[in-house]
Amino acid sequence: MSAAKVSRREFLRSGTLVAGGLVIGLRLPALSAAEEAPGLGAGVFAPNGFVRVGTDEAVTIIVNKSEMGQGIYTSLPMILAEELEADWSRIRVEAAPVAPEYNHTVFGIQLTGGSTSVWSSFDQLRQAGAMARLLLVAAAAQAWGVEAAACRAENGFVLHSASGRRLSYGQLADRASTMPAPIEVALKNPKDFKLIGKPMRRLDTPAKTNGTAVFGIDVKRQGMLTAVVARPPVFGARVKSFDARKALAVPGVWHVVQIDAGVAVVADGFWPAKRGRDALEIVWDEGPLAGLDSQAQREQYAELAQQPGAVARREGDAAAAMGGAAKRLEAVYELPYLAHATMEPMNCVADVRPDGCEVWTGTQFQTGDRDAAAQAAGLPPEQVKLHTTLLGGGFGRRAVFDSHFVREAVQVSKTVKAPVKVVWTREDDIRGGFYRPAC
Amino acid sequence: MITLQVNGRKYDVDVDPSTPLLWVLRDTLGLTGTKYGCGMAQCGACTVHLEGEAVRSCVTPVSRAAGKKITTIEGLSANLSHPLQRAWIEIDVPQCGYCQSGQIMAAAVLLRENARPTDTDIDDAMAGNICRCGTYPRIRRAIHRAAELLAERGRR
Repeated sequence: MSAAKVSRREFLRSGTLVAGGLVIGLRLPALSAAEEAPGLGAGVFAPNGFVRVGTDEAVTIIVNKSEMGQGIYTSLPMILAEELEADWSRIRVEAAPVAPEYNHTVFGIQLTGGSTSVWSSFDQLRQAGAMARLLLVAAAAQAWGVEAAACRAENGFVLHSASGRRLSYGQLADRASTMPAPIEVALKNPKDFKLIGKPMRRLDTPAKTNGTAVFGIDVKRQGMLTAVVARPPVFGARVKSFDARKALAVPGVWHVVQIDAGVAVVADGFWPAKRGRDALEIVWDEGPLAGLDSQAQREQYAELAQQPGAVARREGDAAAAMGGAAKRLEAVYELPYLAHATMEPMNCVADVRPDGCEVWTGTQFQTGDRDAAAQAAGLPPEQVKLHTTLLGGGFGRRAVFDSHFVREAVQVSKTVKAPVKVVWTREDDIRGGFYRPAC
Repeated sequence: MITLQVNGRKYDVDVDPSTPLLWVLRDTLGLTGTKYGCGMAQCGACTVHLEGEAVRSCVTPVSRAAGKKITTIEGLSANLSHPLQRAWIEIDVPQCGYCQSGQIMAAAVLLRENARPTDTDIDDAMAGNICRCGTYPRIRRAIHRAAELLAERGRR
């Protein structure tokens, strides 16, 4: 297990083993400015950016990966709660804001993808949970005037076996907030794991069976309008001219605005916006890709496949072995361009104001989307607040290098000076979205 | 003005009568549990009950629903107590979850008409509801489990 390897390296560096646990140098980011801002007053113990314990006993775990069906809003909390010795029934999950401490530990940007979330977060979240546990134990020891070593944490309580006393994490939250941050922490021995490696029910299931789960497309803001965008019929085409009169005649349509992606019809809701979009008359400059032909492209790829390619690894003499083989098998594999077809059509809500921009969307790529929103809004990235919602499927469709679905929402909101939700129709995404590469 | 009866509550809505029920539920009434997936009755994410029958709200003009009883996922139970919700939670059916409102609403009509459906009955009845995560095997198990829970409730 890669996590064990890293832990061992950490162990060798600090070189201490106590009470059956691994003591490691703490390498956790401090609480971010983004986290410190709202709602954090008295009554909350927030030792690092990944966990808060309230005097109401709620344990909130902040998850920096996007939930798109893979169960990450359960598996990452399990890792932290394991080391925290938290009461699993008290766990709540919150999506992380965009901040450097929430970057992927390997990729260095805030992104969910490549089946990397659990292993790349494993050590970090164990440390975060262990640090919080250590401070809660220290707080209890101080309250009782006993050695911390004589106390232990279990299921949301710190216990002092010798005297039979116990205090809940909620009761300890205030005092724990005043304890100095440790430099190193002891991790649990994996043989003592109670959550990790055990089948657990998903925390997000109830909300997904009564209609309360909030996906990007479900976000509601005061005064919000909905936009449907006419995008080019050919990749790379540009709007030459358009006539908005029929679109504007649709009841409920308020604005028709040109943006980089095409022409957006902005209305009270999706239906008038779509009717308005369908009534638009647009003349396109189809550009250099107008003549692109699937058959010609396929032939070109087949021809290119005959050329020598990049060598990823060379071992032995493949050519000689093939030459001397009794039986040779040849096969041609082709993959077409494919729409990812996320069950939830693409969408994004943006609210651009002169002094800041807020974005709500189901995204896999927070860093890129935040920066794209800032650029489109003409604001510094610090003035963009991006809220990650649940994703109705990701598959890479929601981790796109140009963040186009975020940019267009920001552009429309900035132009009409109101919060705007841009919704793609299913056809919009199939016809002109961001495809899986062909080969 | 069109009068709608949704989840036991009356609403007067001022919308074009040709507007699909889906968008009145979502945008006008704020009931976002019912999902938009395709807009052409191909995926089942928008399934609701109209007078107890499963309909695709994305192609049902709101005028057709006027004065009739509409039930959405929000109205299935007040507290996750519906046997389908209990079974869905017990078996941990959803992954991304986006299609599940429609799946549950379709399954509710199936169970009303057929208290002990076979695998084939389930597959036939649920064929119009697509799940991009592929939760079909768990949906099937959960419908069987809900049928058991319903039977237990009936015995009591």
